[in-house]
Order: sequence, then structure tokens, then C-alpha cells
Amino acid sequence: MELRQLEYFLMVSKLKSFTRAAERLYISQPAVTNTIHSLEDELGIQLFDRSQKQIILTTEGKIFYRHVENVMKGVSKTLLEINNLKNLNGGLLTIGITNLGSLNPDTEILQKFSKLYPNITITLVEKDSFTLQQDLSEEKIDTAFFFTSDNPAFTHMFLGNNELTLCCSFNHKFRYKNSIDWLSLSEEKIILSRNSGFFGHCLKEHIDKIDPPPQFIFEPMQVQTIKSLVASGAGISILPRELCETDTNLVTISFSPQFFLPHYMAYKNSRTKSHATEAFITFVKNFVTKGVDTL
Amino acid sequence: MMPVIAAVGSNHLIANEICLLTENILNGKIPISCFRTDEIQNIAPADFYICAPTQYDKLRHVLPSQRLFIFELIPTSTFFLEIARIPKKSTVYVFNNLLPYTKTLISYCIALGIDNLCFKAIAYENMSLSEITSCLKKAKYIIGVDRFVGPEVLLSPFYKKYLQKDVKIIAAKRTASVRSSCIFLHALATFYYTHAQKEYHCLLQFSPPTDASVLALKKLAIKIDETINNIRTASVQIIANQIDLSAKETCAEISFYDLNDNKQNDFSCLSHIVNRLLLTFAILNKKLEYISK
Repeated sequence: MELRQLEYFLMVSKLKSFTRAAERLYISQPAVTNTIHSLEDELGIQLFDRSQKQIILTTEGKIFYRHVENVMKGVSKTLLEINNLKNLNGGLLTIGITNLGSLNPDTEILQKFSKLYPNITITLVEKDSFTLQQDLSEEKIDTAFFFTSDNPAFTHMFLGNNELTLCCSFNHKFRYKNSIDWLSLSEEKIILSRNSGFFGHCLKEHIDKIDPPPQFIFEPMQVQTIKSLVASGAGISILPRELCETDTNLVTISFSPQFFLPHYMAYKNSRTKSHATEAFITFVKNFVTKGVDTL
Repeated sequence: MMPVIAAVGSNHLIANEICLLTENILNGKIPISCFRTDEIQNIAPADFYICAPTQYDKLRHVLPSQRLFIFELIPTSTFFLEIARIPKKSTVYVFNNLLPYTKTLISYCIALGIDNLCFKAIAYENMSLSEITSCLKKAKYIIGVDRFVGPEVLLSPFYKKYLQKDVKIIAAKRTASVRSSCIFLHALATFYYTHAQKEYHCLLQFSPPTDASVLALKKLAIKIDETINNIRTASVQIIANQIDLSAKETCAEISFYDLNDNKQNDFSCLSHIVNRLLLTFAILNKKLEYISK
């Protein structure tokens, strides 16, 4: 008897479909079918009537469903998490980062954490920050690094500020400027997506005040594409300083006054979390309060 | 670090049932003693006393409440699945010593949708022998807790002679409910965690570390690792038991730390490992606490 047998059985019963249950459980349909078969063998009964177009619970299946539902009510998720503590220092962790790329101290946190917990498999998901928030709400990812702290469903840990700068090519007219104000961007060609969370959360307020407004071109989402287009002289962009200043093909210019982008690690305020997520949150908390060296 | 656990019942049948259940949950890792409620004041003190709800009021006056745990005993799925096979509209006799639990069993059946049978109670300690025998003679289907419908009561020569030859008896194996099991398991985990933490703090006092303290720390790491595995396995076994008491949680446990691994002989490295294990243990404990509430 395994917990997953009961988990699959409940899902198939609720959705009345092996295929849809498999989709919801992120596993293959044969895996679900085989698991249900083995459960039926163990119990010595047929749980589902498969002769109809839509599968339905048999009389015994209905009774078993009600019993299992009572048993698992309110405890199934936590028990699955406990079950996943098999490899006590292992587990899976999915972290969202914006498609602008990971900034410091994210990279430092990831490097130190993976060194401390070598058996935790970390998967990075790069998406727009709007999508990351949605994924975090739907628990498709465990934590995320992004630039806002306004979602009450999440706990946000402030990691620091990153300076936002204007970047241009070595041939651009702004190249000798030490600093620049927003109004100077009037009618400039800006290489940046207006649909990105980065633009919406961080830049829109400033850009909207520029008259006549700058022109947005290409609207790429990936930072490397933005930088290549800027370096080619196609236009200018606005990016965190640390993403541009090491690039020898680009010039970075501070805004006047300087403009900083707050940076957070966020996780959903749900009551239960996987062991790996708990370990990561604790690690980041220690990082923020004590610094990495004391861990 | 080994806790003393006592299973307590109004009679030895129930005490033994609770004892076997607890052993099943803990996979036989901790020995458990059985006692009747009236014996409890004369035994050596235990760290945990486990009883059925009916005994709680009597025991709470003589035992410390923080050491007293209730197992709410409920039949497994297989019992209800067997009852579901009884033809519709049949009369089913529910055999038990006392009347209240027959009503409980009937209500469990009805709650699960087994409502097309005619249930009748036979409570052998609450009814006259003539009433009991009259029911037994008519019965084609009898259900009840295995302790009472087995050879010790219903199938004993005293009652067996009244039964029809083709009577179908469905015996309920009972298990402890998820919540009541988890309350106990959480307390047990806290017991182990507190002891491990104390031992760890004692070992940290050695400065500079000695060979003996390094070895003790290594043994502690292994002990905590094993304990976490045992508690984790027990929590999953609790669910498997709800379905079928013979079901076993299938994961084989492998200890993460090797006592003979020379790479793990450094005190600070071991200390780091114990710290991490204690953190994992605390997470496990928190999850059990959440389920217990």
C-alpha cells in the first residue's frame, strides 16, 4: 500500500478520467492506470466501471472513495510531504527567476545553498514576473525572485537594491554622459518589452511622464537579446547595472537621481511546504539576517 | 532514549488490540506492554499510556494527562467493502459487548453509503440471553469487531451452537484514526527530539573534542537519522492501516550516515550534520503537529 495509490484513486474518482487525472498529477496515463489496477488487486475488488464512455465508480468503489476521502481529508498534502522526506537532505526545489536573469545576491544564495544541500535538486524556471507570481500562487514553483512585494498571498524577503541604469552602445550620443534624467529619453528607441512585469512594476510610472514618449522597438523578453540589440546600435535600454557593466560592448549610465530596484525572494503563505522549500526559506532568512559566512 | 509505552484497555482483549496496533504503527521498533485499566496504578511508570476513548475518564484521574493518549478505534476499509457485498435489504446483526459501539458501527456504515441493509444490534452484555440467542438463530449476516465475533466470544462454544451453519460473519479489524494516531506520534517525535537535542548540547561542551565525543556525535547522527525514518514510516503506515491492517508501507529505509565512513570523522562536520538532522526532525515534527490539530 502506498500513499500515491490513494492519491491517484481520489483524483481519478473526482475527474472521472484516467487521462485528466494523469494530466493533473503530472504523470503518464499508464502510470495512473497501473497504479489503480494494483490497488484493485490489493483490495480484491473492482473500483471503476470502465465499460462506459466516462469511467464511473462501482458500488464498492463509491464506498471506498468515501472512506478514503474521510481518511485523507485535511492530511493528504502534509502526509505526502512527510513521505517525501525519504531522502532527508534531498528533495526537489523549483525556483522562479525573471527572464531578465538572476541578480546578486540570488546567484550567491543559489550557489551557497546548492553547496550546503547537494542532494536537493534545484530547477530554475525563467519567466516574466507576472507569470512567476501566478505560478507561485498555483504552487507550480516553490519560491521566486522578483521585484515586487505587493502580493498579500506571499511572504517577501527583501534581499537588497539593484541600481537601474540606462545602457547604450559605444556609438550612441549618450555615451559620454555621467548621468541622465528620464525626460532625455524623449523620442529615443527603447529596446524593452512593455508587456513584461519588469516594465509594469518598475518603469511605466517614469516612462509615462516623458513627452513626447519614447518609441518601444522589438520588445524582446530575454536580457541577452536586449543587450545584443543595444550593442548593435538599434536603440537603448534600461537594465540593472550588474547585468550590463561587465559587458564591454555597452555603456551604462546612472539616472539622475539614481534609481534603485528593490529585490525580493517570495514564497506563498501556505501552511505546508516541502522539506526542500523549508530548508531554502530558512537558508535565505539566515542569509538576510546573518550573512552567508555564518551559516 | 527508548520510551516506555503502555497499552491500556478495559479488558485484556482491548488492551492487546491497542498494543498490536501501536506495534504495527511503530513497525515493532519499540516494545509495548499491555495492562487492564484496573491494573494501571500498580505498574512502573511509562512515558506514554494509550487507551480507547471509553477508558480516558477513568485513567485521567490516575495518570498525568500529558502522557495519556486516546486511540479512536475505527474499522478498516476492507470491513466496509465486505459489508457492501451483502445483498440489499438483508438483515445484518451487529454483535458487540455493549450497545453504544453497535450504534457507532451502524453509523459508520450509513455514513459511507451502506444504507440499504437492515441493521440490528446484539449487545451481549446489555441483553438477556434469550434475546441474544433468538437473534443469533435468525442471523444470516453478523458483523462486529474481530475480538468479539471471533473464537473468544461469538465463535466460542457458548454462542456458536446458536448460529446457523451458513451464517456469514464479517469481522472488523480496527485501527486508530489518523488524527488520534498522529497526536500520539507527534508526542513520540517530540520525546525523541528533546532527548536528541539535549544529548547534542552535552556533546558540544567537549572542547577540544575527544575521540570519544566524535564517536558519540556520529552515533547520535545515526540515531537521529533512524528515528526520523521510523517516525516518517509510521506516519505513512497510519494511512495504510486505514485501508487494511495487513498493508505495509513499502519504502525500504536506508540510513544516510555510515558509522564507518572515515570522511565523517571531523567534529565540526558531524556537528553540522546533526544540526541539519535536527532541523529536518523539527520540520517533520511541525508537520505532525499540523495533522494532529
